[in-house]
Amino acid sequence: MDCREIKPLLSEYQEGSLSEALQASVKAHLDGCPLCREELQLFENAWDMLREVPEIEPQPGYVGRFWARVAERESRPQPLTEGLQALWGSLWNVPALAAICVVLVIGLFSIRNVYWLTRADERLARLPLEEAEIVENIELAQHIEVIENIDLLEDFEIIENLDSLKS
Amino acid sequence: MDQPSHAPNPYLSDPDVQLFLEFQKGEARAFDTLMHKYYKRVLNFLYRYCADAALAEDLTQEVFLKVYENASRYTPQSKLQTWIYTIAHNLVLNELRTRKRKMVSIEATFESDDSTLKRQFEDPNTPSPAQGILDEEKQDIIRKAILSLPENQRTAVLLRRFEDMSYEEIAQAMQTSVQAVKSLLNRAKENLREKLADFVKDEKKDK
Repeated sequence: MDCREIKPLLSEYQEGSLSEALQASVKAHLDGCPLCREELQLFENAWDMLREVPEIEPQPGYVGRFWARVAERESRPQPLTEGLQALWGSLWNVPALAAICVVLVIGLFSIRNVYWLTRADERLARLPLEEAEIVENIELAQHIEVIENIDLLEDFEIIENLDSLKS
Repeated sequence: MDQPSHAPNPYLSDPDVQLFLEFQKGEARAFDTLMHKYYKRVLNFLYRYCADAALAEDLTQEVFLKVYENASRYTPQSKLQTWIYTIAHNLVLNELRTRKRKMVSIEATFESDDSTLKRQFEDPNTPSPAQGILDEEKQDIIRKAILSLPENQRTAVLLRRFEDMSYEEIAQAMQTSVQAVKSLLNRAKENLREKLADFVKDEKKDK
């Protein structure tokens, strides 16, 4: 192993967390390489120094302050979003939720259809007489094929009647 | 013949997990016991992370509020301390990111202080670090060296050096892989060695 390969392993070597074989390889290199040994020494010094920063103490009364905050939060009215989240949390695994969705969708479609039919009738009722006639003619034109066929059927009826007279 | 379908949950042997399960069943004193055990540790983790004692105190309260409020959702999938530090890590990250726009960059502060320090060292009229710099100033430099680390390296260093957590526990708390933790620690140590170069050389002379 050369110095370049050793460098990324120094941290784990220092903590003794390399595999046994790798730990031995790094040690063998370090025994013969003063530069890497110095590098390791600097690593260790920096790591040790971190502990020189003293700890701080919690402010007195932190437990009382904590329970006061708990009480304050629990007495606060639940925001709408949290309420909805709670509702969702209690419903998400209930099959009834799926049924509610289906009913809602069907309901919405029904309301929509009734609304459009009512509006169409109202519009028609409000039209002036001439325009209403035009609308009726349009409907007639839409059904012209059926009307023509009625004539044809009548012709068939006459032929049948003639046949019965002959016989 | 009956075969055991699941191995026993190893985390159930953690006494803190047992205490927390008691709290879940309604034993409020168990929560107090846990708070007494972890409050100062979490406070110092957060203080080292942000170097602001008032903010660290406020965030520590928030951490325990989250633990309290989410108690019913906790299942022993890790040691209890791992769960607590996951919450602390997420809270401090969110808070610092929210504040970042308003604050002068910590890295910039460190660099400017560092250069001032270097000028001091280079000035032959000022005493050497070993003689002249008080412990308090040295501690300040160390704090700033920790602060200058990128967020993930900082978390890994604090959990490893001060909380003695294993690589696996750190990986769980940081929601990353063990290999990523090893790599973060290695880079963090290199950075610290560079930031503290003048001190670590001095320490070596002292030894």
